[in-house]
Amino acid sequence: MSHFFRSVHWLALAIIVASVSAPSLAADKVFSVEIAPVLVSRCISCHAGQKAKGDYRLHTFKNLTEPGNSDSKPIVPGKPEESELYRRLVTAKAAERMPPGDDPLTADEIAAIKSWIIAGGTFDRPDPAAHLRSILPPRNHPLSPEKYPAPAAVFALAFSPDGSELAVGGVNEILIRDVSTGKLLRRLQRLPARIHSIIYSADGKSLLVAGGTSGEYGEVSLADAQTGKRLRVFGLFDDIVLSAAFSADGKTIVAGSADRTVRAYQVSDGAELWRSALHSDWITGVAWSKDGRFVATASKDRTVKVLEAATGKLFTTFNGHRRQYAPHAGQFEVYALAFDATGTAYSAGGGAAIRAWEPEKTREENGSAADMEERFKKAGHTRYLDFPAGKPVFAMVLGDGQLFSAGGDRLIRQHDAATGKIVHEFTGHADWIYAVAVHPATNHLASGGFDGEIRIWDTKTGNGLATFKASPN
Amino acid sequence: MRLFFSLLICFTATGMVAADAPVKIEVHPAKLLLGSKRATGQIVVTGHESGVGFRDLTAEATYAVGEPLVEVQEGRVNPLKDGETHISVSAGGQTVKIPVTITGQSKPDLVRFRTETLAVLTKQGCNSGSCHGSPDGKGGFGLSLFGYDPVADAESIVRGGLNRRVDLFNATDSLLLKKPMMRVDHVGGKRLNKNDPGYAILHDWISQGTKTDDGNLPTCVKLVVYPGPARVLTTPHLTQQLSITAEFADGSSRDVTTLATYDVSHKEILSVSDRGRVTGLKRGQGAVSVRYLNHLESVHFTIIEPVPGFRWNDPPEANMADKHIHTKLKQLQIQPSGQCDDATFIRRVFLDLTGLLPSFEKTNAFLTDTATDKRAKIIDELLESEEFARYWALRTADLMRVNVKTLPEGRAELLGRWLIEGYRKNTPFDQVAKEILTATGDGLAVPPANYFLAIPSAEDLTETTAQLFMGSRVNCAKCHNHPFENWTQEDYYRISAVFARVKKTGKIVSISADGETRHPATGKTLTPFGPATSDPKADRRLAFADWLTKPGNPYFARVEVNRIWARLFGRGIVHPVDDFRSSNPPAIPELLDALAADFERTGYDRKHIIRLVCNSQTYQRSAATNNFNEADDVLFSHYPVRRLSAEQLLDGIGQVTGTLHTPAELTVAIATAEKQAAAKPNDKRAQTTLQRLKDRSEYATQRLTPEQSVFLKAFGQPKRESPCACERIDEPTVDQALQLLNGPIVANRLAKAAEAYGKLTDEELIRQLWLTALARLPNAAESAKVLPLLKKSASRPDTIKDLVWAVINTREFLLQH
Repeated sequence: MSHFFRSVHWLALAIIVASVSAPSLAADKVFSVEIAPVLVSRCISCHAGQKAKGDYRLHTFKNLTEPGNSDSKPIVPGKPEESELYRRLVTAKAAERMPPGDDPLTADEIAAIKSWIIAGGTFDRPDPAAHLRSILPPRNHPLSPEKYPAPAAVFALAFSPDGSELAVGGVNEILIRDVSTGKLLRRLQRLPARIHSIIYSADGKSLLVAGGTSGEYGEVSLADAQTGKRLRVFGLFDDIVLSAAFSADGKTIVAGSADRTVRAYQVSDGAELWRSALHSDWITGVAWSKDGRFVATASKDRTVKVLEAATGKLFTTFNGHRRQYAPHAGQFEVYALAFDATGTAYSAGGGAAIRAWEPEKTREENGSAADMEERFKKAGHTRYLDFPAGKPVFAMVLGDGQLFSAGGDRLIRQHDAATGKIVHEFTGHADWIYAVAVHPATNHLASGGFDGEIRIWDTKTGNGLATFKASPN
Repeated sequence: MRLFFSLLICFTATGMVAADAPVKIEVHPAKLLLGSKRATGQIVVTGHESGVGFRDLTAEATYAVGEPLVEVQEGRVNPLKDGETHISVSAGGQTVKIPVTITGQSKPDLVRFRTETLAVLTKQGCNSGSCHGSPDGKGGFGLSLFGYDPVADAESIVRGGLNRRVDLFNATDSLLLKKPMMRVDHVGGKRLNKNDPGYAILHDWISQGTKTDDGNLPTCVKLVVYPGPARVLTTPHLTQQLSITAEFADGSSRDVTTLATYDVSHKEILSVSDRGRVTGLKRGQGAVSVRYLNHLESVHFTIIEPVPGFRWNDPPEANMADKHIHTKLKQLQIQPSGQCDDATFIRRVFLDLTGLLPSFEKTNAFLTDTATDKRAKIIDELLESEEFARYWALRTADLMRVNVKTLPEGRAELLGRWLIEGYRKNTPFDQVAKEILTATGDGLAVPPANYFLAIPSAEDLTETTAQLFMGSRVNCAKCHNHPFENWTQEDYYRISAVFARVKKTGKIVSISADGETRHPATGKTLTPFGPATSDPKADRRLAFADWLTKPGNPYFARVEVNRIWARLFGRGIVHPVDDFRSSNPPAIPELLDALAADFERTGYDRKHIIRLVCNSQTYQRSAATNNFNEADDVLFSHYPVRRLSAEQLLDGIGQVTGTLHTPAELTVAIATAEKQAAAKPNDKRAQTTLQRLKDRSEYATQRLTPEQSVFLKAFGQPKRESPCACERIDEPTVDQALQLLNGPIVANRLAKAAEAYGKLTDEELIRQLWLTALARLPNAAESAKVLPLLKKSASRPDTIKDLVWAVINTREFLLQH
């Protein structure tokens, strides 16, 4: 199959080379697959926007072809040596060679650009004004390291539906371990460098995987739970995806990224249903109400937004993490979020309490600008599940009416959601905890964090059952 | 001489250009110890040239290594293998050998977080105040300013931000590298290149596991900068390599030339590379400050370029002040202006010493006096005057919050009178400072106790004391180590600890038996600033005041003589006067040191210093410039022209318009009022009238507390709410022009002027007006213009008013020159 395309590709190239006046062909995906990723990773941060260096921009194909201050044509089809873009990559003059003060592009990358210019320097997508980031294909992720020099920090943990397996986010992979023996069962490879969210589908056959590379790339995909093969990449983000969730019926997913967007996709065909960009900072958590009506999104911007799941429209904003007045006055980033079966939302992050609140009541209390003087009463129905915290909570799960939250305090606290009382404190971790998972049927709780140590606990007794490392070694 | 000549011929004959070949070369350091894999050395090669001075040869020297255990590039030494070897440094035909010992090459040498990673973040600008070092950080990433809080920084970089900033598995994928290299969008722009020394340090620190647990390793205790503390660069040799060594608590030391951060005080005069290579850009002086962690040292550079046509004309020297200034001016090829005329001098010295214009009788007598020492005599006379004591005390009181709002019940006046008494009696300044800093008792009985009562908070007391007596703005160190100086947060709270037991109950200052100051971050109980005392129960202020006023204290004498200098020239040798720091060097350090030494030698005699300065040629120079000093405005090569202060201006207008009592009239008025008050001891009004006369309340330059009228405020009279000399504002405003052109003060006083001058003949009138306002006689052109106007005038009073108004609005009147 790929062989066939390859030959067509060469045929097309031959035609272009043979006849200079031949019209550009937009059929083969050379630019978007081979060229654009290089430009995005090595050039675009300086050559875009108002302050673009040398007044040259290449964040769209159209810009790419327009000269900057030098007035030299960036691309002269068929003639790489006359193309300023190419010349700047290979020149021997250190002061002119791009990127400045950094490694040159690799020989393969330079060769690809050269042959693309020889072939005519054409664009393979419909809209030359589209941002190059928007035309990039999903990345081909590298293989994970055979052995880890040290355990990987853990940001994602998930129990399989039957509770027998634990999926652990590794480096470019998910490690599947047997919960009872701790044995490494499978390595699901060629996944994003850092995994921030793993969710088993209800049938246990696939995994919703979210992650990416901080500051530059995010991805949410559905992967085969046995092989790790990406069945579908739903969407690409400009920064790492920190959280994803299935709807209760499993037909829709949402994902929230550090690029400040939340997006919903249809599982069956991967279609993007809506996109929301209301937060002013990273989206750290997404959760679906059990009735499927709401998607709530937690953010480092100290708010939780409640969106209508069907449309992505804003329903209300929960401001209970930034209060001027007691109780729990202060400005706190929100990192974790959960809904219970009755529609109560639980959110946590900085500060010393998990907030329990309801979207409908929150909207009523938010009121309008006319009742500003009543502001201090806002979020008045919120319940505070207190704890003596020092550092923020980064992870929280809900199972059987019990909330398990953990973070920089290096312990997991179990609150009874109904009474707000602390039931257990699970102590033993020596470093910050970034991930927790619970499997109520087997009474198992898993936790892991910065130092790559994963612990399995018995939720009934609070005892530790097993400890292993986030490493294939 | 003959030898020199023949050498010269010899060089010329052989075509060598080394007419300036060094007499001797000097290599720093004398030996090198490279004790670990990443240890480095920075050699500096200096040529001593006959008669000329120094010249940096580091870049042009050749370096030959004996046993090849190290590699050397432009004086930078990197170890290769353990062992003993030497480096032969050759320059200008001479060679110096330095021994090198290399050890520890087989042991791992992990990057240290506190002493390396944080130093790089400072060097690349990451944790500066306008970037991630701002209180709220930037883009969600916050660091402590210049890394003063390593614990918080460790958390923020490694575990914070969901660990997104460092990637242990693929260090190059870390945002900590990708952002400053602009591999991804970075609002702060490109801050790091791959070949910067900092790149390798950050990269290795990450790949070695982002370890931050080096809190127990020895801390840096001292930064040694070579060469220092001052260097002269002469064209065409305008570069100087620096070599920076950090000394640690365990006695070890380390070359940090590439890790240190460099800044220059005058960008037009100096530049410095990130590897410590200084380049002089044009004639002048500037400082290069070198920061490493919380240490800061400065090297002061003087850049000399020959000025075409310049020939030092050997101006006379009246005393040591001239000597030091002339040395500097000659070196920088600046020709000082000549002496000002007598008229200019008498006006200048009166305004500076008394705040007032000389009376026309005084000026007249002075101008006609033929004695050669008449200037010295008038200086002596003024120093003994009541006006001097009052005017100088006023400027001191400006900095001590002596205002009626802060010190009610007459306590502002009490403190004001006490300060005047200090000048009147010429109380030694150490005694004045001690009496203030150790005052105890009721503010109504002990005037200096009001110093403490006027200052609202402990922090404020710390800052005010440091600013007034140590010339240091320590405010920054309240929350973090000072960004431009060696003041640490600990220093700040140790000064605070000096005053921790000062108790204020109403208007009574007392000392309580306990009270401690803790470091806000570490919680450590701090010992008071200054030397340790044997008696823990003693008033801590005594030890502090003793330390402060002891001869040899680095601050006390320098700060006060600099303040005196600034009041006579409008600009300090260190400027601003309360911003002493190594990165803000004195314009002429030798002058400041000599004055301070003289001040200490004379038992802190303020009048002695004032007298010395006023008698100098420097003080008596003309304000006019010549071709060789017109660009200078910091080295006192000509008298600096400046606007009269608010108080001088108001009283000057009063004197010119005849609306103020003259000192002689005042003596009479006080005598009369005293009689009346004595006759009616119960008459409150008579008592008040007497007191007002005695306190000279009608004079802005002589009264005890600032009047803060619209006029005075417009010209920048301080409210006395801050210890900063900057509270007095010198900048011109539109309001000032309006006040002078048609403000009510000027208008009202002009009416009186018409009355006073109306009695005189035209000739007498302009003579008296000119002498009073400008301390000189009108010249022929001025008389020719003015006399006909007076003669032809339809309304003589109106013409007189116009004339006085015109004189008041001349620059000659408004400026001190």
